[in-house]
Amino acid sequence: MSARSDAELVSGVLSGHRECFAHLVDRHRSRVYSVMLHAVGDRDMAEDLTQETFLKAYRNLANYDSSRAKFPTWLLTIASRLRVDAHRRARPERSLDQMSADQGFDPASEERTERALEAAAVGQAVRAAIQRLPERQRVAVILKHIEDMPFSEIAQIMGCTVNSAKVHAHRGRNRLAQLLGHLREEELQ
Amino acid sequence: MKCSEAERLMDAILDGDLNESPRLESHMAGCEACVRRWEALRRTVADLASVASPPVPERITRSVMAALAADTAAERSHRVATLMAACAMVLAALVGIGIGWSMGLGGAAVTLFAAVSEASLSLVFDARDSVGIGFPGYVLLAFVWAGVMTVVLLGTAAVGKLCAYRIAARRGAGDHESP
Repeated sequence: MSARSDAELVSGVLSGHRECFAHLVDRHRSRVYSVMLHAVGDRDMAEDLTQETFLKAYRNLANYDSSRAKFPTWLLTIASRLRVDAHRRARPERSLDQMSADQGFDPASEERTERALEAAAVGQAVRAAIQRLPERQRVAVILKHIEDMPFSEIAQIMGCTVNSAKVHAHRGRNRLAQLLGHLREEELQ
Repeated sequence: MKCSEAERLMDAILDGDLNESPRLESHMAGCEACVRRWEALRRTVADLASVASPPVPERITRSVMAALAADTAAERSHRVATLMAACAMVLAALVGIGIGWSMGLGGAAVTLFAAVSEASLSLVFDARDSVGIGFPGYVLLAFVWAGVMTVVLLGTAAVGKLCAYRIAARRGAGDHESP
């Protein structure tokens, strides 16, 4: 069953075989959860949003057009919209505070960011620095440099042109270099 | 080459659009600022690539499938409740028509009752959707609504019948006085 393509599994679900959807969830939950966690910085919220993404995908499966987007791209488009809605509803401090509790790290302090980097907690420092990027720069950087997706798919997920997605990724990358202490403020200008 | 053009080439390489650029290398041979910038961006991209994928909770698939099953059960319950309430309304309408007919209220009252019952049915459906009551509450609401409609319509028809009777009686009295 798991060797079947996404399109075959989608057809199976639409034919009434709901168990096919479990295979789609198994196959793509990792990427959706990873993007969500890096984007919101809160494990519980990332898990809730991942679940919500798949439920919404199931309800809208009849609208999925495989000729327009790959299934994971379509999923991440749904995930992206849900994340934006959740971001509007929630106070931004919540995700940052939760992330601090999870990781013993305070992203509100630039000095502490540097100290954490010095303590070799590179992964934690990077995740905390990502949280400090503006929304669209954060998404572009996560999809390009953590999920290793092509800009054509990133643009689809973000609902913008390829050039615009690139600009967001470039700005996010430059800002991250400065936040991580690799690039000084004056060199960023 | 200007530093701004060198930055564009750096971005193209980091985006994967270019593998290498001899022009960039040539520029960096004489530009310390661009060398620092290039090293900083490369370290940043390497840091991002080194971020480990978080462990994914196994329960996500189970949670999603359980939520889908709950959705399906709720949808089935919704359909059954709608069908039962429609049956209740039809039954109540038939009872009302029977009572009206037995009271001799005539075809006009029966037709009016049927038309208003049909309109009220859609109101009950809307009420259920907006209030979100459960199945027993919905059937009870349907019966109460049908009962109220029966009383109102039979009362209206009876008043109409009484008025018609009085008008006929006055005319009859006038006919007797005129010769």
